[in-house]
Amino acid sequence: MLFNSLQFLVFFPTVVALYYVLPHRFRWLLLLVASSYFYMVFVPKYILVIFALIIVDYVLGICIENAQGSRKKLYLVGSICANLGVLFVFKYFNFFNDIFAGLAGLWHLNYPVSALTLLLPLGLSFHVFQSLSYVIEVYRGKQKAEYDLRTYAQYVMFFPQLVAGPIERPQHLLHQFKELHSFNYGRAVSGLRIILWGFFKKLIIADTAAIGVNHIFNSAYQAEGLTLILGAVLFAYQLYGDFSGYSDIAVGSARILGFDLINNFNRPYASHSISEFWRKWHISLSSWLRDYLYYPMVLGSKGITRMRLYISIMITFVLIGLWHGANWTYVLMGALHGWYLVFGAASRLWRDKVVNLLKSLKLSFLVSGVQVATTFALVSLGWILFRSPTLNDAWYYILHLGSGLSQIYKLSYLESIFSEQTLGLTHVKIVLLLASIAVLELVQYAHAHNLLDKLFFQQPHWVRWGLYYALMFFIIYFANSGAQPFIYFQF
Amino acid sequence: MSPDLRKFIYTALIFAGIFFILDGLIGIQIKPYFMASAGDYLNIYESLTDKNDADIIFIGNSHTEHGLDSSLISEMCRCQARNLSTSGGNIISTYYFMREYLEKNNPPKFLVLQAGDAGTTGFQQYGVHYFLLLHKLSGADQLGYFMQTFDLNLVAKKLVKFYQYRLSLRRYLNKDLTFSYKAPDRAKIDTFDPLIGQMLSEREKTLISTENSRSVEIPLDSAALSYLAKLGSLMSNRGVKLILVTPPEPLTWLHLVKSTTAIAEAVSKEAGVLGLLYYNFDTPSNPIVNQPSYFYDEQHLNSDGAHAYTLQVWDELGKIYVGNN
Repeated sequence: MLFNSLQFLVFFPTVVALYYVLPHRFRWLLLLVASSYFYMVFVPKYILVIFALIIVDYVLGICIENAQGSRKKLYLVGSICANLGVLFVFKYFNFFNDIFAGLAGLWHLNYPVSALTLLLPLGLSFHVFQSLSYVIEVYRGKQKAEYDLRTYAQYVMFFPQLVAGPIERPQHLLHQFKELHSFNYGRAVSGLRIILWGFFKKLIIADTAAIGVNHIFNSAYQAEGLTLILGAVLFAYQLYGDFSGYSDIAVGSARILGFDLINNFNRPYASHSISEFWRKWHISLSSWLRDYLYYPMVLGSKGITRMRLYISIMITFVLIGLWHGANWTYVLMGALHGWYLVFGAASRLWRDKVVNLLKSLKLSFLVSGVQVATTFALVSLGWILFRSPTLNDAWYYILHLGSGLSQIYKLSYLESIFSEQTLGLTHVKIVLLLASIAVLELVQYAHAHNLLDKLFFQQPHWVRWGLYYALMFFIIYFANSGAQPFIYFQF
Repeated sequence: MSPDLRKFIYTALIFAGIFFILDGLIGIQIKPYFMASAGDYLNIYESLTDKNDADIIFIGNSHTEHGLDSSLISEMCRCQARNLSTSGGNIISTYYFMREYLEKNNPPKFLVLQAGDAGTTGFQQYGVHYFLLLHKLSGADQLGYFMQTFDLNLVAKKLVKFYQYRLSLRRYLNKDLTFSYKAPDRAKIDTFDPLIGQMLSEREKTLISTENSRSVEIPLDSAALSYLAKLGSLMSNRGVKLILVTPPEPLTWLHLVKSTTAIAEAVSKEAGVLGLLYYNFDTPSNPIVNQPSYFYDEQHLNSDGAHAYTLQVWDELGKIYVGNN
């Protein structure tokens, strides 16, 4: 079920009402039934995949806790194989099969393995990673194995974050299913506020930007540099609005039910470096890979060396790319980010010298602005790979980013780019989209600098309600019709 | 009830009350501009509410909506033929729709139902606009539909009145007062599907190469079967001859990803059980399916294709119609 569907408008209040009406001992059943329904609206049969993984990890989690030595490791490996095996079969088999078939073709060898005809279960990468987090934490002794299957099933299937995260850790989420949640006015209002903000990001920014992005990427071979740059920038905001909007709705929905989910985003486009960007973008995934892959690789038994650091960075980011999808465009996007970070680490000393020099000349503001702009440009370059259907398309797009820029000073040229013909958006929509992006950045800035209390929360009721109504009607009247799926559902 | 919950309920009621007042005030400004998402639906509503008898009714989803020219049939049969198909229509909405129609109109002589395509023989996930029709029907019918499908969209549709205002605001801003509906030129549509992560055209290639067992191969699910039987019974009781037809689709497209033979066999078997006539125009021997210029996208006939298909339908239907008159 999509959060931005009419169904959710009925589903969620019903679940909340029943949740607080039911005694605590029956709530697990409600959450499991609701989560199953939520998931089965997409492709019902794939619920069986989740059920199977729940049983496997539940049993192996207990086995890991009760085992010692090599047997303990064996159970962990068994769980990892089961989870990654499912992920491989559904998501990566055909990708690697194509590679092997291509290699066999090069050597004129017969390669009889045919492609699998399976559709990818929605959000598989999310709940596989969340399940793995549980067994790894049990193995490390940082989390007690969960003996109550009902609680563990809720941990994997909790509907607000079932199909697109945030990828939770057992220490943070698991115990919350055992706690008695009483209705709390403050939490409910704050949850609704976050949901409203999430809808603004998704329905106004992401879905409107998507129209412009589709127009530009679909006609990229006829477009000039400034149009292509605009397409990349709009896609950056489409992706952010889409995914962070989803995360907001997930966090808000869970909060109303009495649960706390981790924040997945923290003003990523205001980052001063790529490493800061990855600490602020899809935090639950980047921290997952940091804790379970990058740190173990870097802190290996042979100590930290510069080469080991660089290789670990590259492996981690190639896997981040591959996590997004079985396509070379994603792999290359991850590799590009890995390369950014390796270059960043290798050039740190002389970059720091330049920064310190500029700061000594009282140019801190300029330094900060250049860093943010550069980071945003580099990230947007990576998003071109993310958005392009093939590597050839991405390559063409990137190579032509600079074409025709000599006309940028001409008003008629700019008018032709910000036109309905180029973007598929009316002038009213273009202005609304740009204004909405400005509002998004201003609100995030105010939030980051603790100004929201003064500017919003301490205002009288009528001001706050007036803003709520304005935002609601703005969404209702200016959102694009038809529920657009969230981009990250595919992962 | 806890004080917090009581406070929340009172606050929510006041908030919602003000919201609906504001919504109403905005609605008064823009209501004259309201229309359903497509003029087709208004025409269909008219045929529901007004006396609008027809001798032959064609019903199905967008394949029939775009692919069958009922005016051509009217000319040839010298009678009144109507095409009441809707995009995304399915067997369940068809059943309720016809029940409503028969309450307000004389029964037609023939009801020609599109069968064999997922839109008309499955339900829910393939239906796009059906709930625009359904919420016009009686409460009991809607409840029955909901119990069959558990489709929360229908419930939500009844609650969310401002959805229609949103559509009308766009019309208001565009000063668009015309009530005509023009089907989009689907041949030009090729967008990126974020759920799939591919351009739709690329997706089609992937489907052709990798998917041989899509759910569209399931020609009649259990809910669809029960509604087909109910529709057959309803028509039989009112003396209407129900005929099943499968319209043509391009040979190069869906034939590669679904087993048309299996679907035709399943529909044919069901028609046999219910004692209905069945004509399958989606066979490789039909010249239309081999002629790409008859289609404006991977599934829908263009006007030339619609003309050719309509003539084919009348070739078969005419024999029975003339025989019955």
